[in-house]
Amino acid sequence: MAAMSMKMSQRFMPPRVAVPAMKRDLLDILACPLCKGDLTLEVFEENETEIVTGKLCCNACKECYPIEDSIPNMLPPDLRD
Amino acid sequence: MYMKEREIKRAVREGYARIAKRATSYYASHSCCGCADVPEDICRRLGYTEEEIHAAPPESNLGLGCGNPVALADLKEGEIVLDMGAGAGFDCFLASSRVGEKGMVIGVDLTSEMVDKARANALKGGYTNIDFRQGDLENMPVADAFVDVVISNCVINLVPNKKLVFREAFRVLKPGGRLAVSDVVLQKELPDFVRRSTEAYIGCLAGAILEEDYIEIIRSVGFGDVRIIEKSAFPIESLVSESAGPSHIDMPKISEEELRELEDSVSSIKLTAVKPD
Repeated sequence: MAAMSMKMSQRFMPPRVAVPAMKRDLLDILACPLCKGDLTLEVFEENETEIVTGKLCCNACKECYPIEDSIPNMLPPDLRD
Repeated sequence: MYMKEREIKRAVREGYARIAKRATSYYASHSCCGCADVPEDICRRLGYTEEEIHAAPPESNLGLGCGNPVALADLKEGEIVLDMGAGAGFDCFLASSRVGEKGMVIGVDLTSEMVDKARANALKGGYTNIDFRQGDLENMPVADAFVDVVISNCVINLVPNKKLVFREAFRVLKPGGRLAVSDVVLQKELPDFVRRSTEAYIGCLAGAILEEDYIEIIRSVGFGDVRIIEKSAFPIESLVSESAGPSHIDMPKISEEELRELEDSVSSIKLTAVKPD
């Protein structure tokens, strides 16, 4: 099951708003495309309905996947542009 | 295989990014009646009902499929559906209404431009049970045994390593979960001039493999009850014709004779399979 711990250690991050319920469920379904490990979500910016920018990091292999313009880019790093 | 796997993925991404952009301008400039309605026409041929064609946002229908996997999948309320190669989201929107608010649809596509379009369509249509994300079908960003149904419409032929794709589909499905796929397969090997063509790869031809090999791969990763529901000639003519609308792919120029030869080689199939309990 995906961990939901939010790493809020970074400075200058906006205060976190609760992730909508659907997104919580979704985090359980998603996994690291490389090692299938659970993901931890970090939110940088979000609006009422979704996460606009952030990243999903694998708890196992530590690879991170960016969320930009509300789209999580879950491509393996070597396929990213 | 003439192109390396990475080159293929890049070519496919760039090709479908162009299609996504072209489709936007097509709908922007052809919104009047009397237009060719090409994607809708294609969909009727592929087995979508009138009701289905009009149930999804029109911009999500790029006419790029080769079947109606949602109809094959027999979806039930509350199910979790994964669309491998969701494009602009057409099949996801159809699946969304079948599984309802208690269900969920996840659409994964390699091309960011397609994911952008799909997301915009979902926002416009007020869909709340769909999530689109960019991902690679050979490396699905989905946890083990979480999905009730995997659908895919004319996409797996584009992926270099088809065994990996089906292995991923098998992995993400719950025991008893279903696979419903339409795709392009070959009845005999393609002529060389087609196999070497990047355009033919993007147009779902050069990446297609023999039907018997395709079915064997599905069985080899563990699926049972593999059934070919329908097999038909792949409409190659619509791919190579000049008036193929927003999803038109720039295919190599070929003669009538070569076209006939191709028609004998290529079929589209609709199949279902089950992950054993």
